[in-house]
Amino acid sequence: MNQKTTAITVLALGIATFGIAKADPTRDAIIAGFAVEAGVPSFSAEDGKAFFQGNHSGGKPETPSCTPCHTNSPHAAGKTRVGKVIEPMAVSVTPARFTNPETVAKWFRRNCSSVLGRECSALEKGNILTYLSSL
Amino acid sequence: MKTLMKNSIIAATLVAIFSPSFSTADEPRVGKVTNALTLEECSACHMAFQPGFLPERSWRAIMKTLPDHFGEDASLSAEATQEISDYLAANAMDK
Repeated sequence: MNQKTTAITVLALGIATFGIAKADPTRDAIIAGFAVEAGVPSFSAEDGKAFFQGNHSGGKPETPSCTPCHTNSPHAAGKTRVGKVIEPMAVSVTPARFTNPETVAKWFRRNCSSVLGRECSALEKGNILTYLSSL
Repeated sequence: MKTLMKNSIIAATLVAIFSPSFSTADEPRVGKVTNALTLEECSACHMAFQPGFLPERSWRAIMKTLPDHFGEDASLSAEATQEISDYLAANAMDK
């Protein structure tokens, strides 16, 4: 191969690797599971963002939203109620996010109870994961 | 001056002999968390507290009320709750 072809090949492989690194089959399967449960073909990152940043009633007064612990920016580290660091939620920053179904289920159970006083629907969960995976 | 010198040397020697008993670099007085599940789950939001910090009755009470754990929902699966409870109880302060 000449130099130009080599450079293009390396660049293409680099882009492809980066793209593959962000996609994760387990995460995709988790999101697909929520889609089946919700009866929708796909989710909306915009709706996920609005839900994540919006204020909700029904939960604890200290946590009316996801932002008291996770901050307004999923690229930033958050803090637990006693100050321990929470790694950023954005998949681009923390690639292992949402790759364990039990972990996903556990934190949705806990956090939706705290913020909303109820379980999140499959639609809400799918929107949130889609939003956080898109960043 | 000579007495001060002598007393200083005596004092320094005593400190050198006895300081190991005040050292925090020795064996931990409360055993570390040795159960992997306990360490993982109980350090999500704060430091994983060693089982020797509390008596069994306190650990049992905490593990029975995880959905309202000092104001937070720390609930776990039934299996995880059981494993962690048993580990903490077996290694509690009064064991």
